[in-house]
Amino acid sequence: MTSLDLDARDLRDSVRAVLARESTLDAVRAATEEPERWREAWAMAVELGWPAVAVPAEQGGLGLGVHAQAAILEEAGYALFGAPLVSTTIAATALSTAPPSAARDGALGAIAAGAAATLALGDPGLQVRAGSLDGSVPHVPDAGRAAIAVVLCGTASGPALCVVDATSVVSSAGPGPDPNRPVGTLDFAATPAERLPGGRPERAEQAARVLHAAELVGVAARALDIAVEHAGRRRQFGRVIGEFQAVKHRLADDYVGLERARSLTAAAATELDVNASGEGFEALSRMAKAAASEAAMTGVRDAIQVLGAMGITSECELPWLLRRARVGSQLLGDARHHYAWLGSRPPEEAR
Amino acid sequence: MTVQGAAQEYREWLAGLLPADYAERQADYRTDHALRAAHQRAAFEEGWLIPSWPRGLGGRGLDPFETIAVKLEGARSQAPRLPSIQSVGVIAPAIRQFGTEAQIDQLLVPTLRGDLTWALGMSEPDAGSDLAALSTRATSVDGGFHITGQKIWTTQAHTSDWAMLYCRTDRDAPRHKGISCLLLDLSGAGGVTAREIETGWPGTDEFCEMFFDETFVGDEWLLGDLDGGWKVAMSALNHERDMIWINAYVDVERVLRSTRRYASGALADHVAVELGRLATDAAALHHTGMRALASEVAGRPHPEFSILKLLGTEAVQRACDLALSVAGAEGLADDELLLEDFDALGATISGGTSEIQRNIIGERVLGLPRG
Repeated sequence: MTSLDLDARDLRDSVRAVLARESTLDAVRAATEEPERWREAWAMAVELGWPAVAVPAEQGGLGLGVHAQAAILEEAGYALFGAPLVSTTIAATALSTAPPSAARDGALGAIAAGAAATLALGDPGLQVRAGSLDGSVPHVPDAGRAAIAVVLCGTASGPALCVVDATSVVSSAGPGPDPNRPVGTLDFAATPAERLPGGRPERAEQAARVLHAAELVGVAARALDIAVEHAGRRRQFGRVIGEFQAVKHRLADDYVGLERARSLTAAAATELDVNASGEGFEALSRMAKAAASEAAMTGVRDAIQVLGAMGITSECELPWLLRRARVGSQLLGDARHHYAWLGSRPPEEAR
Repeated sequence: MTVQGAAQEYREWLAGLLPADYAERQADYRTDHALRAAHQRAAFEEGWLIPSWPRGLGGRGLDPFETIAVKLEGARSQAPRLPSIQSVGVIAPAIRQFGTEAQIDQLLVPTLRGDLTWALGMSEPDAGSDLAALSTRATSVDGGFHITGQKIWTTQAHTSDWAMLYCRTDRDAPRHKGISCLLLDLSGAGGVTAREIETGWPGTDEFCEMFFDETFVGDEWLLGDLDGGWKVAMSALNHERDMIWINAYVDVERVLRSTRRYASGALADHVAVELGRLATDAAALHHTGMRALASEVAGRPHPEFSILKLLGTEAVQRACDLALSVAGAEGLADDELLLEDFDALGATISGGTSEIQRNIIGERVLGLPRG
C-alpha cells in the first residue's frame, strides 16, 4: 500500500464526516429557491482545502493527485454536495496537464485561493484569434458560477486549452434538471483568452471523465444505501421486503454495478497519477465513465422502485440523486456512447 | 523476485515444456490426457502447481501478487488443464490444512503430483445449493464408520482413486454441526457403485452419481474433527479464492477477440455496445480482483470480492452468446466456441449458483434479512 492510499483514505473519511453534517437534504432542496446559496458551501470547501487538493504544491495547493481528488468527489456525489467542487477539480486537473507557465500557474494559484472554475469542452470549433474568443460553448457545468474557465479551442497549431476570466463572460442558464449542478452556455464576445502552452486537451478530457465517474460512483453508493436501509425496515405482507429475492437480488446486482464502477474509476485515477504519458489510458477512462454512468442511473432508478411512492417525492434524496446522475451521465458521454466506442475499435487501438 | 519476473520465468518454463505447435493445435491438445498429466507432474516438480506453497509441495513460496501474475500468464497461454482440478484445488488444500500426519504423509504429495485423483462428494439429490441438507449417513461402527447414501454431480468419480465425502455423523445436531469429512480409498471399498451421468454436450467433463451401502471407512480417515466437516468444506472451497476472477477475465477477452474475427470489419451498433460493455466487464474483473487482493493483504475488509464469481461467470455467458450471434450460421462449425458456450452455463451453477451469489451479497455484504 502506498502512502497515497493512506492519504486518500483519511481525506475521504474527513470529507464524509463534514458533508454528512453540512450537505443535508434541506440544503440540497434549498438550491431551487436560493440560487446563490452554493457560495456558503463553496466557502466551506475552500476553507477545508478541498479544491486545493487538485492544485500542485508549487501553486499553493496540496498536490495529492487524481486518486485523492477522486476520493473526495465520490463523497461529494454521495452527499449531493451543491458547490462546484467537481467542475473546479476537473478544471484544475486540465490546467495541470500543462507544464508550468504564467497562465497555468496563475489560474491554479487562484483556484487554491478559492476561485471556482470549470472546463468547457463543448465546442472544438471555437477559434482563438489574436488572444480573444468569440462564440458560444454550450453544456458547461457550473458555467454561471465559475470565475475561471478552461476552454477547448482551435488554434493554428491544432486544438489547445485557453484560460479565460469567466467573471467577465456572459453565461446563460440551463438546460439541466439539477439546481445544484447547473449547466449553462458560455457566450464569448471579444473575450480575452490566454493560451495554455503545452496544455493537453485529450488528457484533460480523460481526467474529466474519471472525475465525473468518481462523483457518479458516490451517487450510486448513496442510492444503494438508501434502498438497503428501506428494504431492511419496510414491512409488507408480514415480512421485511428485503427478504424477498425480487428485491434482494436487484440490490445485489446494483452492488455489482457499483463495485465494477468503483474499481475502474480507482484504477483510472491511479493510472492518471502514475502514467504521465497517458499511453493506454483512453479506453480505461471511457470504461470508468461508462460503468459509473450506468451504476448511477441504474442504482438510482432501482432505489426509487424499492422505495415506492416515497421514492418519487422531493422529501427524499432519490429524485435529487436522479438529477445528479442524469447530469453526470449526459455530460462527456453516457454508458452506451462509450461502450459503442470501445466495442467498435480493436483492443490495440482502443487504448 | 518481482511480479513480472515470476510471470516471465513461468512463461519460459511453460514454453519449454509444451510442444511447439501447442498454440495452434489447442483444440487437439485439450483432450491429450498424457500431456495434461505430464504438465501437472512437471508443474509440481518445478513449483508452478500452487506457486504460493513451499518447495516440495508444488510451490515456490511466491507472494499473492506474484501468484496472480503466474496464474494470469497460465490462463492467457491456455496452459493444459489439470486432469483432476478438484484434487489440486480443493482436496489437497483440505488435507494440508486439516490432515493428520499419517494422512498428509500418505496422500498429499501423490495428490499434488497427479498420482492420486479424487472424487469430491458434496452434492446430493436433495442437497445442492443447500449443502447443509445432506443426508448421506456415516454411522459409528467398531474401528470406523459405515457410509450409506448417495452423492451426485461428482466429477470424474468413475475414474477416481479416492473420494472425499461429507456425511452426516450426528442427526440430532443442528444441520451444520452434524457433518463430518471422510476420506475413502475407492480401490478397496465395498458397497460403492458409481454411475456415469452423460452431460448434454460432447467434450465436457464427465460427472457421476455414487451410491454407498454400508461402505466401511476406518477412523483414521476422518479429516478434521468429528462433526467438524462444515468447517473443512468451507475452508477448502475458499482455497485460491483470490484467483476466482482470472479464468473469467481471460475467457471474456479471448471470446471477444473471436467475436471481432467473426465480424471481420464493421460491427453493427448494438453489437459494438455489447462488446464494449463486455470489454468493460473484463477490465472490471481484473481491477476488482486486484483491489480486493490489495485490501486483503493490507488486512482491510474487501466486500467487493463477492462480486467476482457472479460478474465473471455471467460475463462469460454473455460473451459466448455475443460471439455466436456475430458468427451466425458459421458458428455451428466452431466446436470450441460451442463447447465454451455450454461450459459457461455450468459455471453459473457449480460452486454456488448465481442466485446463491446474489443472496450472499444481499445478506452478508448489504445486510438484508434472510428470507
